[in-house]
Amino acid sequence: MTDDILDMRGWVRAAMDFVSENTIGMSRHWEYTDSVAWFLTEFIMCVMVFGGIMTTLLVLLWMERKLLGRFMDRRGARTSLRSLWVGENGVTAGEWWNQLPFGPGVPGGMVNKLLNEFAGNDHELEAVSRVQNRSYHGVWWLLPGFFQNLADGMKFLTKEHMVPEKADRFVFEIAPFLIIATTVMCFTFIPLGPHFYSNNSEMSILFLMAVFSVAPLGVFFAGWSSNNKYTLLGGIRSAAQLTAYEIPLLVIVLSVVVLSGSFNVIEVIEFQADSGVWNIFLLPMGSVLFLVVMVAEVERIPFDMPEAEAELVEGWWTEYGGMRWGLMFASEYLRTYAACLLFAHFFLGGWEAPFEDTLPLIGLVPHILWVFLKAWFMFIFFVWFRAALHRVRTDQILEFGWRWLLPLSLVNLVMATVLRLWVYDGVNEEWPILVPILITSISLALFILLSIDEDPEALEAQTRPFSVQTVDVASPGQHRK
Amino acid sequence: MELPAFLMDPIGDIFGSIEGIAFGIMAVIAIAGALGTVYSKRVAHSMLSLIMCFFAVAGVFLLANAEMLAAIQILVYLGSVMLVFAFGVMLSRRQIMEEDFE
Repeated sequence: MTDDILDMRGWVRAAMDFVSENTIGMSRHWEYTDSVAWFLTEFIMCVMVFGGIMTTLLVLLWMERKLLGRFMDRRGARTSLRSLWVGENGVTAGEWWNQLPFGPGVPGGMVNKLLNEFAGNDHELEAVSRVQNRSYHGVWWLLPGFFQNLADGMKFLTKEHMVPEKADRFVFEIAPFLIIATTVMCFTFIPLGPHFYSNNSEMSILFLMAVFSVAPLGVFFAGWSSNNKYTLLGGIRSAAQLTAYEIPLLVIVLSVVVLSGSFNVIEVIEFQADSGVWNIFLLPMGSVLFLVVMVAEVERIPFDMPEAEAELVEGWWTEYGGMRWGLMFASEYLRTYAACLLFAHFFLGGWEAPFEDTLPLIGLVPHILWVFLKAWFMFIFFVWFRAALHRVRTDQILEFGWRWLLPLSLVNLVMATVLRLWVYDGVNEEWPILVPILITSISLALFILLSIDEDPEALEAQTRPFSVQTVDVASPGQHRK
Repeated sequence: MELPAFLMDPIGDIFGSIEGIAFGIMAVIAIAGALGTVYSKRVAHSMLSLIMCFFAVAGVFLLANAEMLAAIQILVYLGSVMLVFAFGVMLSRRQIMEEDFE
């Protein structure tokens, strides 16, 4: 086990032992002292893990708002990334830290001001930036814009719950339970630190995948029971898409399991920590495939056929409203969060700090922070896909899934097996240092070679590589000033 | 008069036989789900009952310390439920928007 200065489980267990000894231990039921302490520890750890996930879910939503707003400005990825921490025109809207009593936020605000002037987005789309920054203006007098989603949730709670007249009422009411409960259950098996988990069963990866694959059933039931042809189409689409992508997902996870020799998430991470190489450098193709499959599994934008707004209104959740819709929306993001966390655990070494051996002070950072930072980093890719790619057709999705992802994931599984059986240095329990370097560089070279698919001469002949070309430039300097 | 054991010693009863209680709940759910699968009038209802039954059986496997079997039960069988239900929707006649329908 990795050392962690945040031994949350040990602390909670010690506190609960104390409590239990001084209450149950004093009574005639003293022989159940241990059981009660154990039960309370598990309960408190579950609450803490779920609470941590739910509160940090706000970060995901905030990142999506800010990043997507910037991406949609078509100002490029760098400007978008900067928008996560600095504002426009040298000003971060809201500046709530200056309003705190007795001024503890003023020094931080001054640093932020300096950063804004030094590295802020100094573009001139005043109106657009105000619109995209609406999260700061919505409830800024109550809470900073980060908590916009709490206000959204309160709004959902006050809304009426409506069931369509001809809907199959029983199934219509059951389906959200199926979706939300199984989504929340995923986080039982995702550890946030070596001593910060709610459950550490031996087969946690298997359980995780089992629970993760139940929610599509709820989606299908929701689509069917609404008695609406668009929702039914959305449900059938999601069934087809998710069964097609479930198999590559399981095969890729299996390759990670083969490589690490364990079905336990914590042991997979410990293996990466002990052998000194993150899995992403050993299975670069597998990690990319995992990302793609996960985007399809959580139904985000390049693969969001089940809820294609343009064709199916909102797909399978058209008929839901109020808090049920809000919770299903949240569970969509929770699934995305689970995907990010799983990517961090399987391929980015989980709570392993980068360069832990060479940089001594980096071990002082609590491990839970690394987990969250890696997950949020992966979420940037999800938002990026959403901004950069367009929705693909159903037949393209299915063809891509069956004819490309499945064979590639099998190749990945073979690679993992070969690496583990014949390349892994079982005596010293580490990878020969040349192996990850070679694999990563060869994969990168292949990727770059394969991604050059455009004909440069055709691009030369056509100054703008778009099918639609405007005759006049849209009045330069008129609108955009 | 002697009170029943669970009133005399509530904590001991719960923690002493929690597996027995869990097994009882799982068994009842599994039987109810199996009956519901057979006797439901609509495909979706019987599929929901089937899911309930599978989950309860997975829970029984868990109680028997067969974790692998429980996980595989959920993974494989619930995936098959999805397919069966897809066929059920495609092959059976559901009156969508009933007034336009004959």
